[in-house]
Amino acid sequence: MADDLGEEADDERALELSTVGAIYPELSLNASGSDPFSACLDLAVEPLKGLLIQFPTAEGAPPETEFTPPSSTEEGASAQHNVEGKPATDAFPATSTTQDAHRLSHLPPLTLVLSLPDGYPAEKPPVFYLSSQWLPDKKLRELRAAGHTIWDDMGKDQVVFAYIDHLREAAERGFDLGQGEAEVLEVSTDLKVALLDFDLKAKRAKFEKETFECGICLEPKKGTVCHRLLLCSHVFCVECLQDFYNSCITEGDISNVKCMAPKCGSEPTSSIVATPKNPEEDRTLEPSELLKIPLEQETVQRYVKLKRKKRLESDPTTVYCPRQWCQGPARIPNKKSVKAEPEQGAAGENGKEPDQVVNPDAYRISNPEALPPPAERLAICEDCGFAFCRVCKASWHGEYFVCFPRSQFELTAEERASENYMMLHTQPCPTCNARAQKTYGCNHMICFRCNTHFCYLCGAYLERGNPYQHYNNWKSGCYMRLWELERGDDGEFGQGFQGGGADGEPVEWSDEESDDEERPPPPAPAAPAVPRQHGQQAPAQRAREVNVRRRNANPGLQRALRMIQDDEEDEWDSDEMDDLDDWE
Amino acid sequence: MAQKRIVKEYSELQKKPLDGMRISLPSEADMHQWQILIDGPKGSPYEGGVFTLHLSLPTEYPFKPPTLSFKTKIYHPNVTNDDKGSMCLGMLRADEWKPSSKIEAVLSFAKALLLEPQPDDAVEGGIAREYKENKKEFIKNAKAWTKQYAKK
Repeated sequence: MADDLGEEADDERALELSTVGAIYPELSLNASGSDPFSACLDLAVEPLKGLLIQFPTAEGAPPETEFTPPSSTEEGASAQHNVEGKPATDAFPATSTTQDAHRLSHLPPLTLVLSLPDGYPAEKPPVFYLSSQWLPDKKLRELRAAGHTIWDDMGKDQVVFAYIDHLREAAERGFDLGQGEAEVLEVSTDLKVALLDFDLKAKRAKFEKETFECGICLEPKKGTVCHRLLLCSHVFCVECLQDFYNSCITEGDISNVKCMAPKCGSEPTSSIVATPKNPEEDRTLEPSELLKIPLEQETVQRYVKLKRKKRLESDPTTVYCPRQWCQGPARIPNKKSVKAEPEQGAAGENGKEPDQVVNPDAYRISNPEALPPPAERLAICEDCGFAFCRVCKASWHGEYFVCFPRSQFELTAEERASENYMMLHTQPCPTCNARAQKTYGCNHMICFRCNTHFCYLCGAYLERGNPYQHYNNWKSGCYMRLWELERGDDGEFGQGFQGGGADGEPVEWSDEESDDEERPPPPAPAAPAVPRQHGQQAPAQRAREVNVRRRNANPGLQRALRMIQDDEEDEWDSDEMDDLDDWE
Repeated sequence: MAQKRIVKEYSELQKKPLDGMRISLPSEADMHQWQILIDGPKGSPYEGGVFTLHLSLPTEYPFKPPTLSFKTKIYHPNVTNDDKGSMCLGMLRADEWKPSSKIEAVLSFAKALLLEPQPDDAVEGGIAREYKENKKEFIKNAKAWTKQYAKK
């Protein structure tokens, strides 16, 4: 260090600067060249608690425009020394409510230029210049004045280190800016992108230097091959994230595309101010984050598609385009009329056909009585724009034509086989009708879509708190049958057992019921009355069962089933409906 | 990946075994099937017994949960009273399983269950009711079964 200063080495000032330079290696001496006792130092600003910064939005400007990158670097540079900062904030006092705030923990550095004049330290104070891209002028002046004060307080002694230390401490406290609830530091919107970008890059650089133990492969991994989840900040290695999410998306299990840490999601989100998401609602990852991990674009596209499909399927009003090359969705834009419909239908049905009491929701469209009035049957495919009738699936025939759903005979053998298989080897969720096929395990099912607990054998609702009651009540048709079909519903036997209720009616077993008539359970776990080998049943009975159960079909299936309402006239060409089961 | 993690978890559990548990592989060639011997925890009606459990790790582990079953008959509300000795609760359920849960946690969970059954999540309703309403009888039965089936 001393070499740099040459013959001035014995000067007190040179000694001080070289000492400070040893402590702060990033101190560059003699920056200007003309003054040997000058130096320059960039002080990192990393407030411990972060610094809350507001960027006032210009009046009337849509929020999207804020995120456009800076048009040029000069623009950012011209904003230096923050001349624009204050006028900008003053100009829009009214918009302060619509401002967006960010808590940043890494900010562009504060630049200190110092010069030690002749006579320093005993007679003359040091000269400090401070500049910053974003700090308000007032604060800069305040900090600069502190230099003189410190020099005075120290009894006019060597002050450079003490001053740098003072600045460093102030930076750690965020320069005491934006501390109170009401008081928030406002920075010109021009700087927003630059500041956010700086924060992000600094965080990333820090992250990459760290080492993490990935909770999946249990290997220590460098930050460079890890990813921190945006919603919860858990870190996993990219390889494991890719493996897991790829397999989830390939299998269609998109609800699992979320953090893999145990218990994650029960604690509140740790991320910064602007997270509009309800932590309980949807913790699956955004497609943009999947791309960042990175996942293959095609995989992410499939994810987006599946998410959309799930949304559509959970909307009971969705019908699908009858053009077999399209099969796009069509929804009823006006939700109000739709909501009223199923209730109406259910109420009417219960009176007319008391032997068919099933989940009222299942009635929605499949029952002819509950069909929408002709005027409301127009559906327009969201993908290809085809206007068709949601009941008869023909191209739109105008509202004065009364049509009927298509008949069963129009289905191809393949379609029928596919439906029969679904009838026999899947169970619809009693709440949302999503069909599930068991691959292994016990018969206590939890719907993949709506988390309803139900019995795989009979489709009865199970109580969330005590789901196994159903299998321990000897009156239940599923008594002692929790582990039936443990190896999965593979097709050897149909699962379609109807829970012991009359005519396929799922029965809910409540605690009271079993308590009232407590009796010793029968000694052997013999299955009650109804045999389960539906594969061996007479075709007629199977058909009846299909009839009873089709009301439970999921929306995709309903679409097909709406067309098998028997005894209805129709004018449809069945060829057009080939490959209907492709909806899967 | 699965294999590597399983090996790692296995060796960790061999180095730092859980209290009152011994783990072995029934077949050295298959890392996916583990045999676990658990001592009945002190203070529980299972004390003095040794229970054999079978842990089966699916090929998709850790993305899919392991399955745990009791090979030794046990009188417990959360274990089926048949030759399968199946369990179906908590973290072992497919929808609650998280890939970064570890086998160690699964085994600790099983042990905690011996100390404190969860009658509200029972697979054996009769035993659960007895546990809740007639604890004495439950303890008596559990002890008798331990003596009969889980003797050291």
